[in-house]
Amino acid sequence: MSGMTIIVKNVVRFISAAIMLFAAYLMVHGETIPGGGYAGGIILASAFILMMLAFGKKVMANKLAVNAVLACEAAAALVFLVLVAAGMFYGNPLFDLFPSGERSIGLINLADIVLGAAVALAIYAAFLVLVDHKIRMEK
Amino acid sequence: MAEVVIILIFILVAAVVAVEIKSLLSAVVAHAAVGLGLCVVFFALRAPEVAITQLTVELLVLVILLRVTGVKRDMAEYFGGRREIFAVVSVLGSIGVFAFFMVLAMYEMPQFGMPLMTTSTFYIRESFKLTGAENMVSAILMNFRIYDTLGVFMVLFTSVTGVFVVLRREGRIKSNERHDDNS
Repeated sequence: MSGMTIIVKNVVRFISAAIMLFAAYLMVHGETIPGGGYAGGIILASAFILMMLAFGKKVMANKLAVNAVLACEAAAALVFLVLVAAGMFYGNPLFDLFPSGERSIGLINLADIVLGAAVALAIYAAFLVLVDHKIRMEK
Repeated sequence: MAEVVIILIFILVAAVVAVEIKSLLSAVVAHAAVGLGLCVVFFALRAPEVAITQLTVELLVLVILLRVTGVKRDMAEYFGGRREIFAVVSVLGSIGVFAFFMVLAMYEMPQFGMPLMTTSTFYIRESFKLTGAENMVSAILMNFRIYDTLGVFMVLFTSVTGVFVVLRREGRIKSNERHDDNS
């Protein structure tokens, strides 16, 4: 039985989903409310780290392994890079992409979501790599 | 632009020297010449803030590299006679070039007390019309300055990759050696 007591585990079971939902809300509504990709990503990563603290490091390290998290993080970074580079190849500023009628948000929403995912995975990967190192040291 | 091209050629020569030369101390000095030349280029392009940042980082890197390469022997043999005259003349010449471009760049700066609001005024006036985002901070971070955001994220990404590389299980070369030992 790893991790904290059953009270903490049950509380985290309820709370972590709400935290993730709030993070997704911040990421998706970056253009209307304060927050945006960075803050949403950090909150998402904090939900992962909270689950790892509550359920024990080995449980979460098995569910979300280091290599998978690093691969997803690199993929998210690549998608963000492609999104940003798209503005260069269109030959006009980013806000003229995808014009839809009189009010075009352009890339703000997409970039917010992708950046949030990338930041969350990056922060969680840094934590996970350190935890993985500690697990190997204990063996 | 001619002066920028000349300094860029100097940077190129110094970079080749830094890679090819035998002596470590000379390589470090040539590397410092690359960085300081880049600093002069920033001044020539009228970007004093970037130049000052480049100068401080370059000096710090020079000190660290000098310490790491282990310059311990007596430096007295480098001084005296013709060498000393050459060193003094070259240092004074470099300071002259540096000061010339610095004064040119400083003339481009706004006067003391003048408001420097040209860019931010454009953002405040035009951000809603151009981007359609109600949150102006988001409009600036994700649209006007998305390359800045990309750079910030790349710093985060590089640091995470660095942590992973330092703490990985074992290096590739080491595992190959172990394999050879076993077989």
